[in-house]
Amino acid sequence: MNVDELLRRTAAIPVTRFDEAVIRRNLSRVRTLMWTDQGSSSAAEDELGLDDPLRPDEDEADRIARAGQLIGMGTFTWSPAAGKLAWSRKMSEILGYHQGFAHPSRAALLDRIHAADREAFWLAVEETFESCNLQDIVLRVLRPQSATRYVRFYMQVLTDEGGTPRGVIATAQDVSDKVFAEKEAERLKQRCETILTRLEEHDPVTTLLNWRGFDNEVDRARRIGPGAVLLLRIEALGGRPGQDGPVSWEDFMRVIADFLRRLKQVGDEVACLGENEFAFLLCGTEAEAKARSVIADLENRNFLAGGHRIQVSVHGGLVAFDGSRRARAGREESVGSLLIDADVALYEARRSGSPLGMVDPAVQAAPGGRQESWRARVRSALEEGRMTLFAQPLRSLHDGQVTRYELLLRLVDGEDLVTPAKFVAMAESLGMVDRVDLWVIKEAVKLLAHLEAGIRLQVNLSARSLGDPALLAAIEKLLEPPSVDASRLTFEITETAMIGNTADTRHFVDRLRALGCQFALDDFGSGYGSLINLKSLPFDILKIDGEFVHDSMDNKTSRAMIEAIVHMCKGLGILSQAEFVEDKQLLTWLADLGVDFAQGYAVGRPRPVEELLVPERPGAGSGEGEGDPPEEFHQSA
Amino acid sequence: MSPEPTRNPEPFRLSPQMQAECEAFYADNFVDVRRYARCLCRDWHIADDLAHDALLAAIERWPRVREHERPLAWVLKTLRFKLTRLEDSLTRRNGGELPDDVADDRSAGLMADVDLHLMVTDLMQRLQPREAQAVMLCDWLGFTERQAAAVLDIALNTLKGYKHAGRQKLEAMLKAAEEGNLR
Repeated sequence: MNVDELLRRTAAIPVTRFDEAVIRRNLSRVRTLMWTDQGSSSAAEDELGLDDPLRPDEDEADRIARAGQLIGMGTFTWSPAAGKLAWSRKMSEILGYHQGFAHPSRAALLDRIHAADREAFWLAVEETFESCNLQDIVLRVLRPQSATRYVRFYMQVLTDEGGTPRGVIATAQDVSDKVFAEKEAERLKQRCETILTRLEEHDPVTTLLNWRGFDNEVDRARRIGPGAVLLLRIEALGGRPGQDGPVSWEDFMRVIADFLRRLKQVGDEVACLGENEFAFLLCGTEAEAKARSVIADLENRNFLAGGHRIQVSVHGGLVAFDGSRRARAGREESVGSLLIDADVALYEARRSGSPLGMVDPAVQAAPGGRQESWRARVRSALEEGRMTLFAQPLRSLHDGQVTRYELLLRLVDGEDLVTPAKFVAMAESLGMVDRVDLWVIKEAVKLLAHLEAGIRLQVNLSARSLGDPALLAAIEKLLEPPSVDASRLTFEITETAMIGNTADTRHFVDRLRALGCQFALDDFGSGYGSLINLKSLPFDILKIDGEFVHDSMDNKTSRAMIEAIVHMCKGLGILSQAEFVEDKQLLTWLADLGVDFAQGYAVGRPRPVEELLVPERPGAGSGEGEGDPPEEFHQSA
Repeated sequence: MSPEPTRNPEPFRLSPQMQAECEAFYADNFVDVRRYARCLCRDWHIADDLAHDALLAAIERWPRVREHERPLAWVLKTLRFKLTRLEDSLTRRNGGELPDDVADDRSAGLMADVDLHLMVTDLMQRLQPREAQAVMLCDWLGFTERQAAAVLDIALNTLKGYKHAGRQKLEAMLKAAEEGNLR
């Protein structure tokens, strides 16, 4: 069926009986309304006028202008042959001239079109005339007092009897309200898409709460009522995921996380604190029963990860809190203290082989209780050499060379390597972190002495170290000649570490920069710092937090943030480093963007520092996925 | 929809002959006017009300309108005028956006196996409003191109462009519907 047939058949559709019934009903209403003393009157049609629209003598331009005026539009007509341009009173108003403006002209019209839109406007007029195609265009009109309005121009060609173009007529309507409403709707849409609904308190692999998030939840829960913290160490039987066997570490962690989410009850929270370490916040009483139930459920389950079945062994450490933020000993408890207690309980459980260890907070809170046991652990780690360093490469995205390494701390605890987040947090709370930092710096200086001259090392500094004059003095002594070139040593400081510490930070940074050291602002974007820090503190490097980097290929918010940060760095003369770079596509995008360095699995995994001292095979050290070291778990210290 | 009837200070009186003319005019044209309205407005309740109100307006002014070359032209122009006013009012109330049930939403799916009337209405709603009106006026309701331009208050040349574009799109849609590709 073609169009003609379609329309012909449609026109021939007979009036149905239903239609006839509707007509009868409507006519009944007409009779009631019209043919009695009641009348009806609507002013609308009076505006329309009663002239026959088909009258043959009316000029086309006049008709269109009149119709436009009826619905509040202005009109202008242009006759190129006569060189004349005329417009209606309404058009005067739209252009911001007083009504009855006596000298409409092309110049007067263009004068009110926004300068940036003038050319497009007149091109549209000419195009309408030459091509006989209508133009529908929205432009800006600049009225007196710089008021900008958006005006829609609907341009048509006027023809004579023979169809020859003789001019252009345009109707104009102020559509500013509509345009502003559309822009606002677009802006709101964009903002809704770019607001993060989850705070930066989640682990990127499992999406459970991370250390920071869990800390906040425990703190919140302690103000509400009694509860407990359960730390869990969950290990796969039959081999370490990611190292022995076919299951990857990420798959293992995710499948455990999913199961723990299902075990979670209303009011509880679950967190991932590190490799194989999870935590439960259990609200209310009956914590011990809940904890035992969780452990039993985990151990009785066959997990399926990466297509392979896995069973796990679980140990837990449980510590209860009473909701008053005060221990029975009467001293205020910090969240960190609770977590230390839970960790002690976990440690005892593993040592004794029982599934769950519990600690009485009162005992731990007593002088010498908790603190003493941890102090002993940290001290023994230092003295017995159970702290070790791994190095993760950073590749320059300008020349592709690896000339920098970040040193990452590990505590060897039995057969395990403990991540720095927990260890450093506890060391900080015990006031021992300066000793840890100094040990790391000493090791870094020793290492630099054996590495090629072009290699630089980056080490992390904790918040407390920034205000420690003794540590500062010790570092200065270490870097005295004939020691290594201080410019090969970069200190990483987090935004959060500088809060309330700006003066000390400035002093610390100035003294060491005077020796040639560089400073990097770590985890930029996810802390609580301010951009003013970049103006007031002489950072050389800015490390873009991995939280923005790792999903930037799929997340336009992250991409926009990274682009803005890189642009800012370029303006400030700061080098940029991107963390969590895990694939080649991301590496390429970052390079194109102008990021200076990249760090992550796409560049290289952390390796024991001793391997840096081994002469490299061609291609070694900067490749992807080289795999012996344990998975680096990027958590802020 | 249409304004509430107000008591006319001057009673409206038509002779019986005029009344009969009005009723015949209404009966003869109601279906076409309603069909025209439904092709422009997705809410058929609104469309039917507009059709009735436009015809009623013609009846109220019958002594003048009956003198027109073709009174239907005035009715259709009035209908379009009322629809424009309604859309403006709804847009203002809806924060600058026309509500979906009135908007020119061309994304409706084609209803398969329905009668011709529904199919044509659906196809017309997929055109730009002026394209649909140009085709309906010229190819359906029998107006000349010049007359159709007058009803639509556009230039003759513009009307020709709309009619041509509308017919081309209808052809394409019919072909797609036959091939089962029309969405």
